[in-house]
Amino acid sequence: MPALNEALTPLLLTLKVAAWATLIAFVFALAWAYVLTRYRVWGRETIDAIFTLPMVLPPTVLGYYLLVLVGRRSLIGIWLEDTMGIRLIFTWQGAALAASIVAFPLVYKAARAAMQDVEHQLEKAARLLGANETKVFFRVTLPLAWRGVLAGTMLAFARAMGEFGATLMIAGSIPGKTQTMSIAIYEAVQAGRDDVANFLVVLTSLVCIAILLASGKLLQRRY
Amino acid sequence: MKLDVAIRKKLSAEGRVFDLDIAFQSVEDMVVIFGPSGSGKSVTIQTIAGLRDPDAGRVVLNGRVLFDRQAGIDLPARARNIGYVFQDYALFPHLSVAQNVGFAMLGNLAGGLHQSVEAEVLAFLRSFELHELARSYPRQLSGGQRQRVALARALIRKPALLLLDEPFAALDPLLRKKMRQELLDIRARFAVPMIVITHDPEDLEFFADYLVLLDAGRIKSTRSSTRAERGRLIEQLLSGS
Repeated sequence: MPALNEALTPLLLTLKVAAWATLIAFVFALAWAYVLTRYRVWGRETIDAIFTLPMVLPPTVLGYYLLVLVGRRSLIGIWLEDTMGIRLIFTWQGAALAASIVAFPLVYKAARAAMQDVEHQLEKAARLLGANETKVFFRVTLPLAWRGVLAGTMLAFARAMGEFGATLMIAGSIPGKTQTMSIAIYEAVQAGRDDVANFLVVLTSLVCIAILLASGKLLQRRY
Repeated sequence: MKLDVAIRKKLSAEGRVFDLDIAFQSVEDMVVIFGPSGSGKSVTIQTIAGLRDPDAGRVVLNGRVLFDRQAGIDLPARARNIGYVFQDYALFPHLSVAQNVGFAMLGNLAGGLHQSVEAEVLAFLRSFELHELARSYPRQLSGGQRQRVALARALIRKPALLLLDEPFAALDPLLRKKMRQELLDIRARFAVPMIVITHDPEDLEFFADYLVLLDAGRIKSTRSSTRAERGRLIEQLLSGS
């Protein structure tokens, strides 16, 4: 079955890229959501707007920003290549970075809303029982915000899997290397390979539906 | 208990300014801070507990300086060793009764109570007649049981002082009577000094060895009193004079 073989490589690559992208987005989104809901930060509204920007900007614009910021002639790009040997342009790592930025607002928004809903009084009660800030976060804030955070994370994963524009600009479409599912679909349609395109489209749709169903389940209240 | 409190705090919210400026000393083991809502009772005990920073002042408990603006001392709430029972108890909804009471002994990141600690927590729960509820969650408990869990959680760490924020306000009248007696028993059993804040004159009859009357952020009077004196005082308060 040629379609299956041709679909497997982009599928595995997509899962790898989406997993890394979600992990990066998750860590940063959680940290920022906590800081911005618990501490008085100067310019909070502006930071909030910038963090939401990837949701509304065309992915090509994000891709362009990334090219300028981490491209091979940029300061960050040169530093990454010289000190860590990481090259982001035309690599799957670049695709993961692009997808993580596009997915970031989904985790951030969900985490922020969920953490805002956690009663401050419970955190105070924990401090009065001798808890330091690490314990307050991992024992009270995070468990109570967990379902919201997880639902946002799953949406972010689905979004990262479907990333197209920014990924294409920064990582290109190299089969087996940076060609993710959504890009492979585009290429298959361009090449008139309807069997491959059909298979990839159905597969992508099924995975995304499964993720949406799971995240909907997680949002139902339990306590 | 030897408690020395002097607090100044300006609060402003929605254009209204509230100015708290109080000072009192007590050597009694049962202090009641009494006053109408909005008189500054909650701010006072939150400051003693370390949940709020006053603008100026000092809080000294049994010779240990908890807060001193001039000397730059401000112990965080976690280091003050003060038990606190919130008005609505603030039990952790995602933790069982045993984990709530044993919260101080839980690890920082994850996992349940260690076996060696669990026995201690269960024994403690037994003394509060809560052992059968050890695996229940707060939402499954009645109001009185919730209060008992909150008390057990605060007392298991053997605090130097127990603060209670309107402890009976959330209970129905019948239960209120019972829980007042329970609190007196606990006081006798644990020999823990307490500060109770209330706006219910009936609480005074039960508790105040030392009474702080608060009104609009100022102390109207302080006095040590016997139960008989308190009876007369309550009549005065209830008649509105």
